[in-house]
Amino acid sequence: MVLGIDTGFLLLLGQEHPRCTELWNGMHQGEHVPSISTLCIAEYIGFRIQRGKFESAEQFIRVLENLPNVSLVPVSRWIAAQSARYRVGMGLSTVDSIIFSTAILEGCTLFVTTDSVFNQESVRNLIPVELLS
Amino acid sequence: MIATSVKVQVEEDGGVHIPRDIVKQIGALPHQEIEVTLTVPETKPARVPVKPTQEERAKFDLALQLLKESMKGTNYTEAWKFIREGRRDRWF
Repeated sequence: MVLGIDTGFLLLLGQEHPRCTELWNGMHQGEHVPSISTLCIAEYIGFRIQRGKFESAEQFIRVLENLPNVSLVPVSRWIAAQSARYRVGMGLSTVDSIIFSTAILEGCTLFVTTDSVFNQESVRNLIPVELLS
Repeated sequence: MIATSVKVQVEEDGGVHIPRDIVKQIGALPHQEIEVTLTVPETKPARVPVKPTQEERAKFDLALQLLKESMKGTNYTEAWKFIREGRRDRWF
């Protein structure tokens, strides 16, 4: 399965959330291919910087980007242009629409998020969404 | 299911027109309900996962350990509050 990963997944995985751990184990076994927008990295590290504890967060990203099957996807011209359409068409914020466009471009078969803004029909019509809680 | 596929241009007003001969091809009659599927252009070809080696699996373990370490002493709710705040567009 090609998984679109949102920032909330990383936060919950760090707290041993059962579903996130299950999906991570699938990546570990080579069953899943995760795609993560670099904006998620900004959000995750940003939170740790605010708390003054970001060394392990940056180490995590360094290891993550070298894992097999894992794709950290920068904001390309296509993603930026497509996100503008989703921003207006679906009422998503700029960050949300960029993260969503990334999952679409990567051909993700499941988008895993904690953000309820993605739990709308127009999003689910394009990609199945799993809302974690 | 009888199906066909066609590429059409989105018109100036954002709508699409499906040519009559394409509709005829599937044998649809006037007023009959048909299903139209729209696809997003330019998605990457599906990636095929590779089986990680033992060494690479050890890196997965290390990554998870670092992630857990970085989340120590915090909880999801406060982290998400910070991120949610950043997701609000402030220029509208």
